Amino acid sequence: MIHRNKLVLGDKDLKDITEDICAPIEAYPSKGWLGLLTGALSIFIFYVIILGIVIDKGMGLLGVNHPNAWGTMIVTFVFWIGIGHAGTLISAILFLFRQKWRTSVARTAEAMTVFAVMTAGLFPLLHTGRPWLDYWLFPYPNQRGPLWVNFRSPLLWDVFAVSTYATVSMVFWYIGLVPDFATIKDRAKNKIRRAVYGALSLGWRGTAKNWSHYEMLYLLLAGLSTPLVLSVHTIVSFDFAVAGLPGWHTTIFPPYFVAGAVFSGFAMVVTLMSLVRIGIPEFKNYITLDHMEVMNKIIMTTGLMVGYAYGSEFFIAWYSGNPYEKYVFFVSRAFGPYAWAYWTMITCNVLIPQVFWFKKARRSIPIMFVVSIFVNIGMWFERFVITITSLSRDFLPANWGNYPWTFYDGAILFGSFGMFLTFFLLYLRFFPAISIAEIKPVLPVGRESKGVH
Amino acid sequence: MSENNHHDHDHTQIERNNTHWLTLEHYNNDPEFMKKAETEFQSSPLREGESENENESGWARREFLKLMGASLAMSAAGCIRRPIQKIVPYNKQPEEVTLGEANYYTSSYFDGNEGIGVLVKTREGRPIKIEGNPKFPLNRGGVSVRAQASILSLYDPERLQGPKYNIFNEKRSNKDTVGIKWDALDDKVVAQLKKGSAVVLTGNIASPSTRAVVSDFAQAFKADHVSWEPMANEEIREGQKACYGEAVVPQYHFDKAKIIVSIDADFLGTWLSPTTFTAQFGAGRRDPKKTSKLVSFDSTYSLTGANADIRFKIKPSQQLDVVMGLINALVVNKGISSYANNEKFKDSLISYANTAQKLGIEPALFAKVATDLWENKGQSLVVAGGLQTLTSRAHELQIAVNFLNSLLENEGKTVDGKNGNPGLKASYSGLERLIKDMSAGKVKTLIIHRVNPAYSTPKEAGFIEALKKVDMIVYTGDRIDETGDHATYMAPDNHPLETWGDAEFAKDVFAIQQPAIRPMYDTRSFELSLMTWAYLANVGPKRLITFETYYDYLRNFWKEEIQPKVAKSKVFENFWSEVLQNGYVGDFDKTSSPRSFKSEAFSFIKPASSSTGFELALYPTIQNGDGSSANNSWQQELPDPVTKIVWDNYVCVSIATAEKHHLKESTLVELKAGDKKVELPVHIQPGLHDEVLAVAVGYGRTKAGKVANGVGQNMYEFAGFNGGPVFAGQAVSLTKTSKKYNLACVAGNNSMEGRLIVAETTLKDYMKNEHAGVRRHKTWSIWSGHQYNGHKWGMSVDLNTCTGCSACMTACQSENNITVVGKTYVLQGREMHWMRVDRYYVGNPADALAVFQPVMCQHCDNAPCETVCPVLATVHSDEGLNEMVYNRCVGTRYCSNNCPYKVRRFNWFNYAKLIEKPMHMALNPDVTVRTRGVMEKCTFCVHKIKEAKNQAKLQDRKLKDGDVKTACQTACPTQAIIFGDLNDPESQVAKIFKDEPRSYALLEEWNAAPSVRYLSKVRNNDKETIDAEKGGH
Amino acid sequence: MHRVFRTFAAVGLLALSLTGCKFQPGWGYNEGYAPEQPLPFSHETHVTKNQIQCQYCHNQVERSRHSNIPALSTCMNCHLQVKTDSPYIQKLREAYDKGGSIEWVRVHMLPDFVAFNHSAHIAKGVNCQTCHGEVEKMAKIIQIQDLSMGWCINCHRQPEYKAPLNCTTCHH
Repeated sequence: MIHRNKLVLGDKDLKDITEDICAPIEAYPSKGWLGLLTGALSIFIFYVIILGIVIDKGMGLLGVNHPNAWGTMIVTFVFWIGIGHAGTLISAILFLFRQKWRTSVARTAEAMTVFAVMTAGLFPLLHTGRPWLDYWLFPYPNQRGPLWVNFRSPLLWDVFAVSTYATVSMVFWYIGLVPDFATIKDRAKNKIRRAVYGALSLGWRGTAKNWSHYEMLYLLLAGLSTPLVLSVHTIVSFDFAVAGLPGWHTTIFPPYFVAGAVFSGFAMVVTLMSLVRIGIPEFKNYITLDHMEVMNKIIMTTGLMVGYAYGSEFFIAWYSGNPYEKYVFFVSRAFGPYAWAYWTMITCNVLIPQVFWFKKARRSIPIMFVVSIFVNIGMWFERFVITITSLSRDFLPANWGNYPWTFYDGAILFGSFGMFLTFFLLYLRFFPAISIAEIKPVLPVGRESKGVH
Repeated sequence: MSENNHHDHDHTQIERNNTHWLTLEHYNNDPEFMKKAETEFQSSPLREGESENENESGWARREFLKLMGASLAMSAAGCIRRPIQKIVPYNKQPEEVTLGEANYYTSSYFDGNEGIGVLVKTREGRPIKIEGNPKFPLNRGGVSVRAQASILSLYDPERLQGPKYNIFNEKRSNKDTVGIKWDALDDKVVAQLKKGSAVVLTGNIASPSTRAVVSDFAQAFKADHVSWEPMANEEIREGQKACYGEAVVPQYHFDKAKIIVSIDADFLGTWLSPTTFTAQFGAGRRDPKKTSKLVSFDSTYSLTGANADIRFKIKPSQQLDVVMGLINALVVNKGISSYANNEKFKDSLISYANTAQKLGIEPALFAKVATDLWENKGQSLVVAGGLQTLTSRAHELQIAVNFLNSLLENEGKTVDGKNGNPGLKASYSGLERLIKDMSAGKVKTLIIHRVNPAYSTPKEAGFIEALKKVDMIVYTGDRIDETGDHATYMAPDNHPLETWGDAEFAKDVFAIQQPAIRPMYDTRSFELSLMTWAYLANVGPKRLITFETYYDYLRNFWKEEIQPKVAKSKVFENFWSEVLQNGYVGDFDKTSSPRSFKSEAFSFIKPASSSTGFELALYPTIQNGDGSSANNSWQQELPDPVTKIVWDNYVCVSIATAEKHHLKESTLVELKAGDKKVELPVHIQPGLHDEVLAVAVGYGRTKAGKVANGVGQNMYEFAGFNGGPVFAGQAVSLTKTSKKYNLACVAGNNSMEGRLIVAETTLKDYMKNEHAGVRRHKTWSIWSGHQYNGHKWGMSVDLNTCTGCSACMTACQSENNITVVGKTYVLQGREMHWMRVDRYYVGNPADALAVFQPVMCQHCDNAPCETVCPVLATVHSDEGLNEMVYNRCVGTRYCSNNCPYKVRRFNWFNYAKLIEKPMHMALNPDVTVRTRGVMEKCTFCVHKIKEAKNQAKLQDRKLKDGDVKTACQTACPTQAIIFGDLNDPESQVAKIFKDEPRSYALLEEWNAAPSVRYLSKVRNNDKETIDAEKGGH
Repeated sequence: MHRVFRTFAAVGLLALSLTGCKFQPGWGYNEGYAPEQPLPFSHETHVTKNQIQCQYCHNQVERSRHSNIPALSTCMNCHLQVKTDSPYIQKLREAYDKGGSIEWVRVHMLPDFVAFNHSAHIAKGVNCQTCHGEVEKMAKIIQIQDLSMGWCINCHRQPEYKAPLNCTTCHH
């Protein structure tokens, strides 16, 4: 039988695992963590203030204009939604495929998903002209006849897709956490911890019955969230693909967006994991270089897919002979006023990930960290390019106009990271960042030769 | 909750309401709360109507922000309390007012040069819109941008609310403005007038009765009357005098001309009566097969040049050469007319022999123009005039033009000097004399009416210095503006909409001006002021001092002076009510006869001279005119029809010049002429002569008010003034600065990028194939489409008659309560116009031609906006309208993204808040004022459709074609826009949709199936195919 | 663990009750609104007792979108003779002579973005009573319908009325 590398290094036994994973939660928070949190939190607060001003004064504070009716908020929304995908993919799909290596990264990846979706979810709601009326986007009985929503509108599909995705991934994540919460509760020394984690663990007893229910539920949820990985970004891509704009109205968008999402998602996972490894050295034994390497392989693969998509767009534009399409791609995007954004995107998403052809690069934390950052940047620009280049140069030249980027655009993009990081840091501190319950069964992997059982 | 939650007996009586209490505070009649409850929502459209008159409370009623706030609350929060509103009925029911129904009053509008007949639309006694009077023989229903915008100046919050007294210090360098009572002012003025040597300075006076009042007054006080306008037409009158003996501004008939040659006379934009001329021009082009030909020699890129079939770029100093060149081509080269064998005459032409080369025009082309003129003699028209022609040789130019017209036998046919426009008497020579007298201290009292010389006279004229030597200056302006700043007394005149008046825009064609609203403030008409002063001094003719009001004077004048001329037989009362009904009396299309040309006049013309280097060309703009009404946001935010720039004036330079001097759009440059300097941003203008620097006048107001102050630079100061004004041909130097000044341009791109957007063809091609220039597409859909069983509304826009004058944009703005957003936001692409006029350049950039295309919501049958709105805020009606429901819109803006025509506008901020009292009175109650965060767009004036349908129903008849006219349609001087029911086979628009070969849909291949179709433009330029691939630059 | 679930339940209920008002018909509308008027004008007296037609006072209702509240001059047509001793009529008389008016409290009110047209409905033969209730029996005007959009639509939907259902029928 083929030899497999250990999934857990440093000859841990079951106790060590519990110890290691609970350590960050039980120990007094480190200076580093506090520092990071203050930073993230202040950005978050700044973000909230900015959003407050925008809601008070109006969308006009951002660069959105005529013809670019969508801008930073939608771009960033798609960006964060995309980030989310890796989490569900790792936790659900890899789970169904029985990929044991996923266990140590799954929890954090899922957390990332949840927070990313939370961050993203705000944008479509806040970017409307009258956010206080957003509830009209949901079908509910009313006195206007009644007046229903427009089920033909991709935006409405979005509402359902995103909310479903948010709910399912949140439940999925929480269910996974239940046994670990119980563990922490049992280890807890003081009353409050007991009470809190007790409540969170929903009275988990660890009985065989509990476990069998748990396993079944987890499996079901995994099955449930798998299609979501594909559906969400497919539907998000419909926002563009269903519209008639040159550069938007293309059938390749769904797969292209999903690939892009997984691409950016894994990049974000790599970014965060490298940080976690630095922040909590003990975790190096659980989140090993092998893990990172696998993810880098995925990044490169999906990167190539995205690159292929870029290429095919051009081909189709030329092949269709549609003058508006042709203009958008061959003039506007590649050489127009937003060429800089376009080529940034190409560099970050297609060229840079190619370093992962080399094993050295795949296994070097600094390199993969840098690359993952670039990919994140590149993917934001991808959405920017799609949104703005098509809107700013569409059918009637008399309408053309550039996107007047304002302070608020920057502030909102920047602030959203504050929100995300704040949640993520709190998560690292208060939740077990690696699934204790799931890591233990995979302990033997790679140790078969020694026959430990 | 409040302290005293036990019964407060003062209130229990009145406000206690057990059946329905709103909050505990209310239940317990907390006085604080009661006050709030009553005052919070005082406004209501109904009370609007019920109010007795336009008094303070009257205005308070339509606080739109609050209303919208209310509506918001209504639709947003579920659990709200009812706002308490009051209904205040009339004390006595006025006869003519039906609440909620509009009344129209015939009236007339005069801006100093142009005069048109208008209809004033009022609601519950408030003028809300100005439309053209379809019966009026000049403008034929068309209306100008500024005429429509004048409704805003009525409600301008910065108008003077009563007479004022400026107390000056010794050197008149500083002043203190105090209010004063009319009678106090009258006493002072009369006392001063009695000292004698008074002068009345006015602009052109179109009103015969006002002319009478002024002359009576002059007679009474032995005063002089000087008439001057910044855009005076002295050169034309003097030219006419020299050639035909009578100093008059003739009537021109562009509809009777088969070929029109304009030498810098922007008759479609700003020269004399553009609206009337545009109407005539349109009539001459409606049928492409019989279309007239317009050849333009253009030194600025004027609207006339933009509409020319053949446009030649020249510089001002070449205007005379052009005309003489044509004369030479006819007389010498073709040996036409008796002059052909007059050697002396021929000699005088020698220096003009090779004009074509001099102008850099292909000689054949130039010769062709001459030939065309001759072949259409008696049906051709050569015009020159306006600021752009006020060079040092303006007089010679006019003589040459007159000669050419006489030569071509146009005299008495297309040029009618016998029925000229008696109103236009203003002259710079008069002003010059006045300034001399003032500086000599010969003027004790100066009464200034309807002109603003302190702003619009050339610096060199030294008007202001002279003004300081006058003891008392009485100014009738509606604000303390540049001139009011020097006036001793402000005796504010009524707004034209507040006062009676009349006008004579053509000989023996008399128009009436009716007041549509009681004077809003303590103002008094200029005429009544003069009458009062004469009365108090008890001097002057009887009629001047007997009548108590100007209205009585006017009626008497009409009875004694006017009726005998036009309708002797009638009973005056009937005659009078007829006049009020029609808005005018008299016959415009009188037959005329040629006047003989005094050949000696020709000797004035000196041999050709030539100059090099930059020449300045100053021109007025359509939107701002001479700048007198500049404090008007509709005018300022209306894109210039050609450059599409708003809120500024700028130096237009040619592309070559820009490259030569490394200038970019909106680089700041410094213009210098002698000791005069000015810094202006650059606008790179295709098709401009390389040695021309063109700048608009009418900007750079300093004391006009919030809107106009500091917008652009005042170029009047820059004009020359040595023995007559020099607005063109002045030698200037241009130096680049390192600074930049952003110009707000609404045109995203100047070129069509090779797309078929404005279909255009040449007359030759059109004669061969009526579909020429239009690309047809086979579109199909798997969907059967909407069914329209009742009406199906549609619109057609004729690009061949559309001149791009933009009157439709203002009409739409006025009809639909469209807000202005200001320069900052236009720069960000936030302009709100529902209807825009796109302008593209075609042909090679160096001498680009222009095309115009009005674009409003196309009301597509397969509307892309409808499918994507998540809340069904934009839906399709069963009459083919694409409906926009503001109160349902949450503002995702997806519809705008998905609209291929990008005709939707979004309320990025709460613009309604910007509507300052009493401006809100100009709002149309039939159209919701949009709140922040909702999308808006052209509705095909659905409220008018509803109104018409309702009227038809009440009269129990079917709706007939023409019952519904959209705002843009009524305003269009050339009737390029036609609206109607496509399901009614007899309707005009249905016929066009069915069998007009020129008609095409915008972006037809995209298959949005618009309900708007355009008719291709036919260029009558003798070419086989339209030159150059629509490339532009 | 039950403690836990109770908390959840409580939170859930609270949330529901907060949003609740959106879902219950009648909220935010003013059915049954009947404010005190400056003068106790009784339609009952005028219409039922004295047999005055609606259109005598609301004389523009047939040709205008608005049903006008009569001018004081209209009241005075009768009240110069009738009931001149009543303090209320004296108050009215006073206002009339001073050229003033009476500030009635508005009962039936639609939001500013709703364009309702009385004349169109009258022309279609809709009685005043259909929307305003049996005014002739009212001593004091009271709003009997909620005037919600749903309520309007209900009639417009009836095929026999052939009423338009476009959004722009009321909103523009």
